[in-house]
Amino acid sequence: MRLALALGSTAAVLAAFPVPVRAGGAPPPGPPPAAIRVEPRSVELGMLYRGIKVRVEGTAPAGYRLALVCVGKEGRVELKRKGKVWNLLWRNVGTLAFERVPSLYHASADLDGAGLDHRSVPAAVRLGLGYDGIEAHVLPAHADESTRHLFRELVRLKVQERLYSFARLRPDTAPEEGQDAPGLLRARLGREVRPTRVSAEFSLPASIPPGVYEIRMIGYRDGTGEVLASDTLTAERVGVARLISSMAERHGLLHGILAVLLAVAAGFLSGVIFTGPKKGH
Amino acid sequence: MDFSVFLPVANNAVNVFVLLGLGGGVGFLSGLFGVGGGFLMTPLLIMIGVPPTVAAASDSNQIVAASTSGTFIHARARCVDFKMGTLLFLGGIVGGTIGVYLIKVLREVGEADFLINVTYVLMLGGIGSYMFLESLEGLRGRRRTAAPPEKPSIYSRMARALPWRMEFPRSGITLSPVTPLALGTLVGILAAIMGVGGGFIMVPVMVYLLRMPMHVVVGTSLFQVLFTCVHVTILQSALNQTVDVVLALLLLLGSVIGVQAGARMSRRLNADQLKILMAVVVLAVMAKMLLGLLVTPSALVSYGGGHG
Repeated sequence: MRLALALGSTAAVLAAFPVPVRAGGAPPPGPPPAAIRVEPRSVELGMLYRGIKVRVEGTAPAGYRLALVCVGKEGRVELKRKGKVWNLLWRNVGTLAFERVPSLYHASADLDGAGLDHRSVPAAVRLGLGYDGIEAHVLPAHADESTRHLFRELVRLKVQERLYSFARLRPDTAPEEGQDAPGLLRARLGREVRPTRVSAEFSLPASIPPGVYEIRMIGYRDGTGEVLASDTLTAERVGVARLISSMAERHGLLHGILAVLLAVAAGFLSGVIFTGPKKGH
Repeated sequence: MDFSVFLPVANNAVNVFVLLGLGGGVGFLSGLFGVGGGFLMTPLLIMIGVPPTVAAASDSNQIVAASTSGTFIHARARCVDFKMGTLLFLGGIVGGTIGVYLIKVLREVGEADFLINVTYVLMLGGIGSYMFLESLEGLRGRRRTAAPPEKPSIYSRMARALPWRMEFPRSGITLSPVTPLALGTLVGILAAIMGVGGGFIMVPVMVYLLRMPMHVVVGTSLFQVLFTCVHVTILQSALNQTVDVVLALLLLLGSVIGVQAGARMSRRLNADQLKILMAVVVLAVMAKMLLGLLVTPSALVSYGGGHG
């Protein structure tokens, strides 16, 4: 149910995987003073790392609908498909794989007002907007209904793992004197307005893989979309965590032997401590 | 305050006290029944967010500590038949190798996972029900007296016909080493197919087929499980890089304490009490496996290999 709600709302969420492109239509008049800042820009995956909140702040020219997205490296995801046998027992009935699936995808988008859901803005879908946009990015256009259903199940898994999320962004424009209308509204009204400020918080779970994550601010108006600004965030293992994972990956045999010796020593020590010098019966 | 710790190979953060508690609880059962506990611990670790491959491999590592500790305490109490344990382990190595190839063939056919689950349910259901009913009769005092049967079973006649019969003084039995070697091989095959150490299959085999006394069974099983898990841990680390030593350390800190408590408790209970408790645990795991087959999963896909 929660997923249905999440996916339902994400149908209108703005998101983008591709390299910055202008998705049709004429460019907005004048270069937009867009900027974005991520804090922190570097995440240390040490022994005490347990997930972190990343704050993104940006400024965009007025008149845009805005989205902030945090996207991880794309890759292949292999899955087991479940089905019923004898209409009774659940079992794995096959395997499948999806390509170009982002390891992380958090989106926060301005949903206020009408007209910016995925159906009314085909350019947005082309940029990877909302659930349909993600699906369009990962699946080929001729994918059958069964594949689409299984992809939806994958997104369900990702949401459960807190690797994907979709939230609402609230733009804020510094009001002009005597006015408190939001920037977007005033832009529509044709008045001169100040740039729109946006901010969002993304939770990076403990299970994010090390790597570079891109944060993009995407703007939409008049059926067009473009990446207005972007920044990166680097997550890397440090200290003991780095030492252990590096040893496990590069010297697996030695790591295994040391792990066994450590376990035998701990077991033996506890045996001595708990039984004491006296012989048992 | 958050007491989570980052697990560098599992690539996730888990609460320290949850791991200590899991280790302690499963270690207690390990000391009590002589089982490694992998069939309980691995699903529990998966439930708290550890990837399945890392859960299974790291659990083997912590079982090394728990079974070392358990073997130590049982050996001090002269409750480990080292000769029998060595033969069973050697058979287990042969069987494990056969089982690994068998599972490879089954995976190519595409039926492995389903067959593994069904084998689990049938094996656990059969063993658990038999142990439960048999020990219940014992507890009620209705078991038939130990009068020798008029006609020995086929298994007994075969076992007696085997050559090189030898004494196993700690267990108080005499039989051919071929019997434990063959049974160890059989358990090794099943353990490899089911992806577990095999303690919960080995214990009933020792009790019902080798006719070993229950208190020697527990210590000897732990001794055999120790070597099986040393083998598995090194293999998993060398081939798959899936042993998380931080996870294993936290689990073993809990389990070495739990296993001591379990081993002490096992000496206070009589054989029928131990067996009926073991039967309940085995039946509970069987029920969980059966539910997994019957209940609609939360997502109709699960990760295979190679996801990031």
